[in-house]
Amino acid sequence: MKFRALMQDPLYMREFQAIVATLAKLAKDCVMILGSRQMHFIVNEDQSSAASPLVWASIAAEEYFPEYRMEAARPDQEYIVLGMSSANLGRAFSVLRGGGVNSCKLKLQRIQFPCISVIASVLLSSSTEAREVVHDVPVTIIPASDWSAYVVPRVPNSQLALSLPSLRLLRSLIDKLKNVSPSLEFQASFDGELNVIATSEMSTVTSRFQKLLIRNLVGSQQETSCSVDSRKASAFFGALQLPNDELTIGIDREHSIHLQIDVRQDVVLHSILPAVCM
Amino acid sequence: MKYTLEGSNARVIAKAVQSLSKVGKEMFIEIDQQSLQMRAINATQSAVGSISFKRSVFEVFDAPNSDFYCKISMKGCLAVFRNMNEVEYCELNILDNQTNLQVNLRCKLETTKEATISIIDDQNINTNINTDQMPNLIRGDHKLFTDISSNFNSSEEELTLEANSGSVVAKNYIEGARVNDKFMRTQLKLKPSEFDQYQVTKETIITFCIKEFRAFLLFAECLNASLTLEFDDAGMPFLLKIKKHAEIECLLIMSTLSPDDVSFSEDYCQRDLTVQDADVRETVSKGKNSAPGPNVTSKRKSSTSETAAVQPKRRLEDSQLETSLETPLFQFRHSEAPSVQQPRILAEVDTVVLIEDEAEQEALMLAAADAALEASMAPAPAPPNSTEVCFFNTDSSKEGRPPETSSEDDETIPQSPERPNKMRTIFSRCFQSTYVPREPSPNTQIYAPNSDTED
Amino acid sequence: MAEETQSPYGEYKFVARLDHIKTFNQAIKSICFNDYGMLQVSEDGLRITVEQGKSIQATLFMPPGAFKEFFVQDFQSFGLKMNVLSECLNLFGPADCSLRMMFRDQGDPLRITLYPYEDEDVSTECAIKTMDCEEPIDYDKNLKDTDVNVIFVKGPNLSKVFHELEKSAEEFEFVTSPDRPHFKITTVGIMQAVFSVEVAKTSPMMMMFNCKQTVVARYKSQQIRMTNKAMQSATKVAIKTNSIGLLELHLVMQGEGQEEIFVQFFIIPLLHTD
Repeated sequence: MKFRALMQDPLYMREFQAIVATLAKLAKDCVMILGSRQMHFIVNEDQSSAASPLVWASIAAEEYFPEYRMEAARPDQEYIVLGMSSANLGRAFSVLRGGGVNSCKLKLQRIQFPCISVIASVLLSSSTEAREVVHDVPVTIIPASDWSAYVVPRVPNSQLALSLPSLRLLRSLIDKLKNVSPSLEFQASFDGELNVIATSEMSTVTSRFQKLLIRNLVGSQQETSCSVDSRKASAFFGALQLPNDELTIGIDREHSIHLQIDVRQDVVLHSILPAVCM
Repeated sequence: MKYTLEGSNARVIAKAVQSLSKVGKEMFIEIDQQSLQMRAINATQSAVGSISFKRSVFEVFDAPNSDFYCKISMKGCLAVFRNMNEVEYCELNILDNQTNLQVNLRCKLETTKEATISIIDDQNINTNINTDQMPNLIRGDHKLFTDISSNFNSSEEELTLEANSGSVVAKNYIEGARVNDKFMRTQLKLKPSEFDQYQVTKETIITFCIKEFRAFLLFAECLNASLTLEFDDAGMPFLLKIKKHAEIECLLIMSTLSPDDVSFSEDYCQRDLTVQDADVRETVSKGKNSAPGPNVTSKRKSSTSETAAVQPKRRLEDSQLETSLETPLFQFRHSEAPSVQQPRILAEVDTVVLIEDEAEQEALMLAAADAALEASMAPAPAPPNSTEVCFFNTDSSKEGRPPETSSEDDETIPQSPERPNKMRTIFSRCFQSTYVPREPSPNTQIYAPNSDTED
Repeated sequence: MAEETQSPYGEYKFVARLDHIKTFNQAIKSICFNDYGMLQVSEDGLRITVEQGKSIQATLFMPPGAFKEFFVQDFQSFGLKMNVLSECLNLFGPADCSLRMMFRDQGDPLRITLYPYEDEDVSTECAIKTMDCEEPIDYDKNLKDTDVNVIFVKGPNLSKVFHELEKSAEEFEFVTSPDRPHFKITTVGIMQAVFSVEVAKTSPMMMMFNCKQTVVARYKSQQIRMTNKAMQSATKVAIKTNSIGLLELHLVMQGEGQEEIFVQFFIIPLLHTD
């Protein structure tokens, strides 16, 4: 079992850091699935209790890593699956946030226990030599027999998917609406309108987003809606650390809402908010 | 007695108060002919910080006839010196037979702020550590140390430096020490060229508290000054010094963790806890665990009648209570959330409880040695019989270390044993097409729990 | 019925529009110290009053000129939950919005619609439940006596003075006097320390100083601190006290290119126990 990867481009390093920081805000633990050409992160894969939503990120290795080497434990296996603290991972990569990082290596190794060592080489203004900063993030290796529990989720079907050009207003709105009502109803119509409705004993708040781009339309229904837990929605929006502003919302009637951010072509962040009974 | 300063100097004093407030809950002030000193000691008595301002910092400096010292609450002190931006002139007065400290701040817009803080006690702390010669000395800009410190989590409690002539490595762990498998190790390797002065003649690994270190780093930042670290071996005191124009001098003395692995008996410890500096050195060289510490001696003014009148009861209790401050300064206590988390498999934590009688005896001997010193009642520090001294077994023996981790072989990790039970299948089921992943609404009441056969 | 539908406002008895919500939002936030507020609209303008016990009262007052559009039929008065109103005005966070407020009749909700400037395709409408309410207490007449001490102070400066008062104090003692100290606030009830702040009447922060008598009165620090948020956005503050120490703080807030809006606090002094 071997894994080694290297990043060198400052822009990509910052993007990667933003993805990890987003995961760190969402949950205590995350699962890292290393494939031969793809890297996935999943948080809150166990949906039973947490107030945060299921979120996963899929990263085409070649986008970020000029060097990427993965060897599974056995030749017939396709993955290495690791569990770790997302806070630790977030902290280990936070060094990439500031400028001056030459390169960043990721290396799976055993010290006293298995860990992913994040080795950043930081260039200093005061010196010509780079300084090495090492964080060893402890990981647990998840055996193949348990992999079935950590499958990268499939994007659910939706009757209608709309693309929101700007996240800013929606993000602030959802953060405030979680105080109004424990559940939020998302209503989308085929003419590109999205309504977010929060109802409480003292007030009803209806927010309207018009003229949205339709990404996907299945069937001939004019409208579809789904109510979700407002804390989960707010946790997703509140955690976002990415520079991207565009978001796609897919609604599967009374079933789930799928949120998707395309960081770049083959780097995508997803979340699924399951429906709640009204 | 009156001391006045111009606004910008007062702001520096305010910063000093803020830094010291991160060390201890009480502020000790000492004024002699040449300077005003402020000191604080941390709760575990493993660090003492002092910041001294020469009389040239002040416009009026009423030198006392004999050295003056007092103790005030840090909280009160912090409250006066909190908002300093508007301050143009600051006046400090020791009032009413030295029972009150009055601070008068003349601010912009003809606004005057005044605070009267009562003096809790005429008490002082000092240490008998020799702060002159240490085999190792490194000096660098505050930015460099801020950089180092920022790589470590704010919840971290200790910092370990591995210093030799070629490099210094800052770590949040001790190499070879067994740590919790959730603990993230961090290390930073620094080259001598990054420092302004680098003189490491004695290769060593030392561990000290990072909190107080950061408190003083903050002050160095405010002064835009460089920091000097001076240290000897593990178990010996660690010094942090900051100097600015010969007018401001700071000294932070911290105890360091003794890395020795030898199991020690309780009586050994008790003796070590109260030995003087030279003895500590000797003990350390013998490879025994030690509480490396000089003592805090508590001085009280030779019986001035006013004090006696104010606190007549204390005197009677002096001899009994003296020990509270006569116990050593430097002990390591890992009582709350140690950064190197338990359980460490190789480690044993030994808690040594001082037996009161012996501790007192020791203290009395020390007191006798300095007849001029008077003991006092210290309300804050824990009484000696509750002083816990904890040591970690740090497994510093070379043989005990796991193999070096950089070699290529170590990247190969054997497969973990398969988990016996089938677990965590909730998620996979969620994405079967037959399953509708609906949750109960958060505002509905659940009348019956899930009947999930998979659990 | 036929008459009413001819009006451009239809069945609505109160309709108001604001170009920018920022100042209104700040003013509402600054008086949100209790759950319920009383809203009153008349041709004079809009008033929202919040009380806690019988010892502190705050009123936000907006004259019709403070609105872009202001229509009211008869006198309207109802109660509403302040935090709901405040939450509603904050839905878009710091983004600037214009606002429309509409109210039909007793028992109907107050409808507030926000239109953020940064995206014309986005809007949000809040329907806030209204309820019956009592009349607010009238302290005003008490401070119309001629022997009242009056000080006008620049808002930002006074805000700083108030803000820096030691928070652990239980009470504050205010002194207003024609002689020194002209204006002084002292903390009461802190262990081992006393803090005070004094502003000379010649200070540039004083816009007017007219004290005829020395008034010394104590107030709950908690109640004084309730004025902090309002003070932070005030441009001018009038401090008035009568001989028994009833304190009025009259704050002026300047909207974005709009007429001034006002927040008025009345605070009852504590009885002298010593």
